[in-house]
Amino acid sequence: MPLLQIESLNVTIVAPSGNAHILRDVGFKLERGSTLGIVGESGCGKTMTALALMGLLPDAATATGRIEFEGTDLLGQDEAAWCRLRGNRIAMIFQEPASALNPLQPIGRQVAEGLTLHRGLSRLSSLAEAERLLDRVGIPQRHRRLDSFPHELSGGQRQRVLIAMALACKPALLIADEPTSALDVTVQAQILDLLRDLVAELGMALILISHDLGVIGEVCERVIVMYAGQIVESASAAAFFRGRAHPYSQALFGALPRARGGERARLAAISGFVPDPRELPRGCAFRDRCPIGTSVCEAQRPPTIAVAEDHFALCHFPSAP
Amino acid sequence: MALKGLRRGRAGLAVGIGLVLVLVVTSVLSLVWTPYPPADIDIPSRLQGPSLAHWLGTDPFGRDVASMLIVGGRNSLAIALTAVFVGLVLGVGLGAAAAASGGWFSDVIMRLADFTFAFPALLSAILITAVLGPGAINAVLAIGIFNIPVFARVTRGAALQIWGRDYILAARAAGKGSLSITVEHVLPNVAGLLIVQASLQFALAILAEAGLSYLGFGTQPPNPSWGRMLNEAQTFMSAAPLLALFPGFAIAVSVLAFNLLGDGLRDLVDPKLARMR
Repeated sequence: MPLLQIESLNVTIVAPSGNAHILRDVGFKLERGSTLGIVGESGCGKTMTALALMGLLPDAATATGRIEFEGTDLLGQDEAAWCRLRGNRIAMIFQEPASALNPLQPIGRQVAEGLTLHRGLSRLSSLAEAERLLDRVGIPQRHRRLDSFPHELSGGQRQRVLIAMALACKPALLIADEPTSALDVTVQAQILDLLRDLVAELGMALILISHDLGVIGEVCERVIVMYAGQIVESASAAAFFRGRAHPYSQALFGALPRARGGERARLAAISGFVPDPRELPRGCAFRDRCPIGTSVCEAQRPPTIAVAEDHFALCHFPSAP
Repeated sequence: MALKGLRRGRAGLAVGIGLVLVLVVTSVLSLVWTPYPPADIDIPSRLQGPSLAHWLGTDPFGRDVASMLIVGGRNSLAIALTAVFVGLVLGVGLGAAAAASGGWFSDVIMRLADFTFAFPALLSAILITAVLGPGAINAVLAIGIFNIPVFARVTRGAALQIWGRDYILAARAAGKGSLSITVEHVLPNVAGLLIVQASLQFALAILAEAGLSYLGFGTQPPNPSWGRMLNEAQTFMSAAPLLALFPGFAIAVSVLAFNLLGDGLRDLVDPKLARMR
């Protein structure tokens, strides 16, 4: 049985201006200890998928479908059950380390929080454990650090603190939502290394959300590409980086900046805009921006086609990888 | 230090703190010492002007005005303090609960707040004391009740903002429930604002207590109070105008003190507001 199995997850935000379809028929599986990368541009539903997994969708959003985690369906459970799960079996790291820490609380207490909550540790022993965790994520100077406030740390250090917080209870699944987007490139590499090591060390599964294909390629075994709330391509990372089947994935790849000697090519941008989630087109959501879009794409929803073993694309005319 | 404060435009805060300190110190001191017992009637020495024996003179019953003023101040501080405390505890509780739960509960609380705002506070306080009977405790109740919606609104507004922060989402992702998030993350972050609001409400409470006592609904004799001193001085306006001047001055100065304190604190808590002025 996989650790996590999502089936036909739909998230809709009901608003007077029209219902916004934020996630449409999202489904994937995740085995224990495996790593999955979700890529896509802003607003494609990456973060909403993560929040749905944490039960932290905005109040106006309704989710249907199935999120099966360790054998139970999460969507049906009450808030108390969610609270027992969050931070305990599923943990999350956020994009902005600067704002994800309470500015008025010393970091030691914030890291220890989950331990007192889920493990029932006393204040003292949870602080001792927090110290060990801060050591593990590479924050030196033990005693001073427990009493430090978030503003005294650098961005990279704050992200390390957040990682320590997330890992405190040794969750089975870690969701990292753009964990390195707010950091310098050099720090970015260190944080990714740390995440990779910790995932291997604790046998956690990891969902890494990013708009940066480089980051995904470095860490993940499997890649999912999302567009306008749908999964448009899913493949093993090896296969994906060998060849993309969906035109959107190909365009994303083409938009990567390349640093080759002297070559100063313009970045290939994807023309057009993401469709409004309140007024999605009848057929393929990528039709208007697609280089190969036809009248079929406009009229009919694309099917999910297996282009190779374990490599799927949501397209009428996927390329052979 | 003081000069630096002045240059930064914090003179008001310094003056406010100074005056509030004077008020508090004299009030505390009056628990153990006053120039005369404030209720001692001494008809032969009635209606004297200020002198070394009676610093601020005596009233028509020969009571020492200075002593009455000090003890009256203590009474009005005590009433204002408990009233604001009652309003703060209940108002912050309701406001924080409204912010945490949202939905219909929040709507009900806020509409109730609107409802109480629809009536002038002092009129309703008079109504409440008229129904429950005059006295210090009922004055506390009457003033306290009208502090509840003020604190409820301020708390809810500020707390809603904090609830939108990333670290609240992070705390929820760590498995914390609404109650512990409110206590550990939301309230500490709105505390500054509440302290400011409390000092401003304090000024209003002192004014309200004086008003109630002036009308005879507040502190009851023989306990002195500024409001009743004003009332009693009315009859002797032409014979002894100073009798009205002193309690009037005391009320004005203490209201000013708490307003200066509140404004100054607000500028400290929110420097953006200070720069805008």
